[in-house]
Amino acid sequence: MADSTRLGLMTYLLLAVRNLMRNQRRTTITLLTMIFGIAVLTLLSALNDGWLSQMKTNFILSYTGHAQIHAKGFEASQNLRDRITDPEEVTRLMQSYPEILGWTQRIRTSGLASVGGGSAGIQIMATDSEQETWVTSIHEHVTKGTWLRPGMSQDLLLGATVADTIGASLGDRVILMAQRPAGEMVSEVFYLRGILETGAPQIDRTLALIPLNTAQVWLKMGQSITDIVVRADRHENTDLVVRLFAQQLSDQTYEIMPWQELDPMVRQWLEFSDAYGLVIILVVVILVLVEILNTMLISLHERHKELGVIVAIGTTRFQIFSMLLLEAVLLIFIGASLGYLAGSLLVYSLSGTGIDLSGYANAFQFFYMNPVIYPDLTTDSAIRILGTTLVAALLAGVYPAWKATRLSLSQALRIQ
Amino acid sequence: MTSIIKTHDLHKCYWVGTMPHPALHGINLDIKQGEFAVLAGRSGSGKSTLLNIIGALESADSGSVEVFGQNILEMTQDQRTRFRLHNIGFVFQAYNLIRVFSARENVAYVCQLQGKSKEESLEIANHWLQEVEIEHLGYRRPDQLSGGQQQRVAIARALASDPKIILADEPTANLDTQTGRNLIHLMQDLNQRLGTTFLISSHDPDVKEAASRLIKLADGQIVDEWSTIPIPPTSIYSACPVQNMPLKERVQFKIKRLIRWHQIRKPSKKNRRRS
Repeated sequence: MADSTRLGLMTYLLLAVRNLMRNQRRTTITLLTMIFGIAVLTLLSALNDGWLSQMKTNFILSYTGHAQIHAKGFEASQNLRDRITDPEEVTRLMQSYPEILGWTQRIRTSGLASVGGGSAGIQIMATDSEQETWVTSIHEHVTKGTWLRPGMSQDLLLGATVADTIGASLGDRVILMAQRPAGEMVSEVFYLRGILETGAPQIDRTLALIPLNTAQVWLKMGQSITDIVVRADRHENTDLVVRLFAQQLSDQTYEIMPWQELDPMVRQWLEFSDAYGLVIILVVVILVLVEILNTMLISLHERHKELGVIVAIGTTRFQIFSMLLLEAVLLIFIGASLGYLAGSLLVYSLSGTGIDLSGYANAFQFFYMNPVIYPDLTTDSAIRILGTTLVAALLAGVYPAWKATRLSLSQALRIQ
Repeated sequence: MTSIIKTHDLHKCYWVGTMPHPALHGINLDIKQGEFAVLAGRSGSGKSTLLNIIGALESADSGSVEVFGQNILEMTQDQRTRFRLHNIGFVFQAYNLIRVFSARENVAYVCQLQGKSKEESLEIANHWLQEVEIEHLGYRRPDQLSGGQQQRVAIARALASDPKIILADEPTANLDTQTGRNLIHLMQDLNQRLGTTFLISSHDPDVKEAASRLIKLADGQIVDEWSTIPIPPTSIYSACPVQNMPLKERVQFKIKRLIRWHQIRKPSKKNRRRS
């Protein structure tokens, strides 16, 4: 006597499809709910990713670059004594990495700016006017006047807020005061040639931009610098670039920091936004899960007797479990695919124009945000949405399927 | 003849809250291969419960049930499922076909469960649908078939797994008299031609008349039993083999058997069309 019970996958699929078609109205309503939910989820996720990507790009390109190399201890001390005395040793390496798009050298120190009777604490950033444009887009944020001009050693650009605070206007003579590495305080006269408005309050409130060569002479630093700012070809290559430098440079002499470490607040904000995105996914997925669970349980209730008969004639409980699980997975697969497709089309239709929220411009004037959000559908978010939905499908399918395996045959067969 | 079903001192009690409702009380039964046995009795007498226990659909509280020499009460759920698939065919009162399958797919389903390919299963299904004379309706779904046609599909499904015994629970209860009779003739024909054992629970007089053995149940006990074949002496209940019947009843019984035999061998075209 053979004692096996076997059922081909096609029979399972056939049963699942026909059972879903059994109550077409209910299946359609469930599918529409899912399609709507997943489409909205896809759009929200794309908006969140687009917004985060813009914020990340703005942050990286407006000031920090993807990574910075300092003399060891500089980021904590902010003291010019902790400086890179031989920048050539580092910049030589740049040529050999195709992942590096550009780099610039800077001197960064705190100081004081004064004009007439007004003065304010500032962050002096001395940079090469041409190299800086390869790495950051800060030159695009000049709203009044001009960018640092080659050969003009006394040019000065100020953040819009700091210029307001000290009452400086274009062409004004501004005195900057700073401390040399040896400790003595020195001052120098600069002429305000441009006003910067980056949208990031901490930059606009403190930044004073001067030519690198002038700063090296003024602060008696020779060829020394404090920062080498690196731009990678893609955001995703930041870690790779950091790793490459870490392998080549002594960690006793240098510190190599990715952009996330340079501004912990931005990193926390991005992490928070990621978590927020995850919460949105979870909420939508839970709603979908409840909907599927409800549909499956009603369907199970209606088919109680039929399931009893199927078991009576020789279907094992594992086969019953598989049948019902496949039904739930199939339902979610169809709903999630169509929902994701609808969401993708929505994202595609908005990707050109973006969503213009400039009516709320004030709300966007902080944290490197743009008033027009361009949705960005990434592979990661697709995996996140579809993966979470698949898990939900399994969860929504497992309970009714398990419940079906517990049915009492004699009771099921007695149902009229 | 070989015994294929043996029950010994079978007890079953249902509980509604704390109230016991005895369903079977010390049933001893011995069904031989090839019998067309009918369990008769009023509603609540224990017919369906006994049939369910023999069919490994339900457990008993005590006693033993041997089907083909195997004590089914000692089997696990999955063992019972496999046992049913390969040994027992079921026909239910409400037909109980799978709604989303066509008649042919319903019959082929059990063959697929047995591991046969789809093509082979459909061939077997066609054969059995032909046997029950509804091959031309194979593509129809259950809701497109009449009650009698659905019950024929159910019989074809029961036979498709090549079982040695078919358990039928009130198979004619939902059918009109003529359709019921046609179905009984069909089952008798299959019983006699194929040697398949039938154990039927019914209170339909036509089914009782067709029985080669009639077992009457009341309050969970066998209260009367007669057979056209000798009852083994192991039965502790009264046995009334046909030769022990009063002369008048014996003659009536034999005439009825003869008429039915004639009907089975040469079913009228009218009856065929009706079914």
